Amino acid sequence: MQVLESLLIMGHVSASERIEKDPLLKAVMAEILEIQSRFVPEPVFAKTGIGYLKSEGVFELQQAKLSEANNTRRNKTK
Amino acid sequence: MNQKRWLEKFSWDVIVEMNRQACQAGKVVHEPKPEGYDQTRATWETAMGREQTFRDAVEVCRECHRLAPFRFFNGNTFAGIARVLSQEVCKGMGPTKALMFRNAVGHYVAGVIGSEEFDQVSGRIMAEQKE
Repeated sequence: MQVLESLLIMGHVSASERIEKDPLLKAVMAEILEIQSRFVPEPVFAKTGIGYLKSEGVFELQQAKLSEANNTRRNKTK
Repeated sequence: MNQKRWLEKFSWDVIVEMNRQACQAGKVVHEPKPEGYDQTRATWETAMGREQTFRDAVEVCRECHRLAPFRFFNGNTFAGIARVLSQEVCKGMGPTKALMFRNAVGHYVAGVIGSEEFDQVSGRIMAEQKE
């Protein structure tokens, strides 16, 4: 990581390499691609003042609630 | 919420590259949009080096999305950044609250909900977290 930072200071590391090597940037890139299908490509927000983001429905929330219930159950068992 | 340089790792060339990769995945041409590019870049680069609250960093993401520096996929470029950064704020929250918070952040940056609604939702989640 220190080598990467030194190269960064020297301006030798391209943006794509930084995205590939930095965990935070990599996570953001993965997130951008993961949520891409929920957006329309055109800049709706800039044109209308109201953006667009397709709802994921209740599945994601159900999964989160299930995971929370499992955690609570596990903690009680301990 | 603590002040820090939330956006410091996201230099402008990284933002451009992220949008390029998003456009490549979406099979559309990646190109800057002359009307919004320079202003967005200036806004972003000023905010990048600034210590600010998470709320202010989210506001920068929303504003840069609204300015639309690129021809396509501005929304997920800036919402993706804010959603991932929100994970630090969500530490200690249960999965349901964390999901609600992350979704509220994403919807706010996407321009689907306004500031009043976002502040109400995030304020309530934070308040419940402190209880």
